[in-house]
Amino acid sequence: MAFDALDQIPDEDLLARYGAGDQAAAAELARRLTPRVLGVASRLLGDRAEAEDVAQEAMLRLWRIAPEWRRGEAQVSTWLYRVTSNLCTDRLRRRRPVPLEAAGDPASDAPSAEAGLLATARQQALDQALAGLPDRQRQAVVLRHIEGLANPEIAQIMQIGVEAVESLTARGKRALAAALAGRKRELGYDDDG
Amino acid sequence: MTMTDDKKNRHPGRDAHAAGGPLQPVSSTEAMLEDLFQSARAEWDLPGGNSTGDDLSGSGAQPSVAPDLMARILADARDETLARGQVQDRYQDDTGADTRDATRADMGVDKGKTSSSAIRRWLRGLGADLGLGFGGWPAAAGLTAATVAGVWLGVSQPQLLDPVATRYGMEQASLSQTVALSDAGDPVAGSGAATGLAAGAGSESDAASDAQSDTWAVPDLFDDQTLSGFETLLMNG
Repeated sequence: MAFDALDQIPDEDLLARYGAGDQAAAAELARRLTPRVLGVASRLLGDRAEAEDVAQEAMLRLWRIAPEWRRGEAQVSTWLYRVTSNLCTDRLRRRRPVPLEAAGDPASDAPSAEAGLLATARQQALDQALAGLPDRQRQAVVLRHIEGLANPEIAQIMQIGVEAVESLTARGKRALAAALAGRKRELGYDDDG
Repeated sequence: MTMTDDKKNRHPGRDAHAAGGPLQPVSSTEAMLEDLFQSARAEWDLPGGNSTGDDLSGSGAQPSVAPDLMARILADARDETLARGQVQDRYQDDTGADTRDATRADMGVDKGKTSSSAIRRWLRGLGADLGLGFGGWPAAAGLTAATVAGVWLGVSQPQLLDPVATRYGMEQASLSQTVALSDAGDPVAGSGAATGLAAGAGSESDAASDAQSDTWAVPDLFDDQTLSGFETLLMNG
């Protein structure tokens, strides 16, 4: 089948085709899903190398479950997000927690006037603030506000209720706001509010 | 990157932000947070990452995947397929225990558990076949009860059966008859005893029949007198 045609096939059908031995379907699934997995893992772990390991492991689990995949029980991406989140949580539990203050300032203090470096500083500040959140709050905030998933889907991924997702994201945002409040001017925001 | 309106609507504030319009945050800190989230989404918003897949509902925060990572992922996919293919081939060519054991080991299946469960399944199948052949469990229960009753009646004969058997024309044959008849000292009765031992002397004389009725209440078998009667019988041929 041509690549263009594979591009139109839903994930679940591609997974079934891979389960039957179709390597082209696997390639399309990997092209489609790996960036998502890598993005979530990077946000949750704050470490690109670790995130790549998690992404490979999550995709490997997808390959392994393909022959036994039961259609209609869950979306492939939701299942994959859940596996990725669990893998990240396992890794985070093995880490020693790093407080926000100990994480240091952004490396781009001096040339912060330049737009590119300011953007980098902002991103580092957000990553540091995210790293200071409890695991579940960080997971909910990343999935909601960076990955842009809807609350019901996040609830499926985290295996909690929608209300719990809302509570986690609200508390996470409050904690982020508190952590970043003192860095507004440094990050180029007007401190008038 | 393609994105449906529905997916866009999942992010309040993103549309306005993307369009250059003002956000409506509760505070400036909230505005800062929204801007940081937007920057994070834009950081990985690279072309070619998304697709028209059914369920990729994110905002487009996708990092580029390093070629070597993608190569490793695809190699894993190929290895998994090959591993499954090998297992299937082994099952298709399954002709010996060694192949089966190797296959089980590959699949991480405990050999002992598999064997016992296979035997259990075979026994269950065998039991089901036999049960159906004999008419199911009611027939099996009836057959068992009849067998037990037959054995019990043969080993321990109830005394109530004797008058019933006599009424319906059956003859009583008991070693206890020889005791009574030999005690009477009657040569006729004695001969009757001899024939009675061979089952069925009742028709030879009324006296013998009376003697029979008298001996039904004597339960002792193989006492000294009976044994001497045996000896006499054997000696006389």
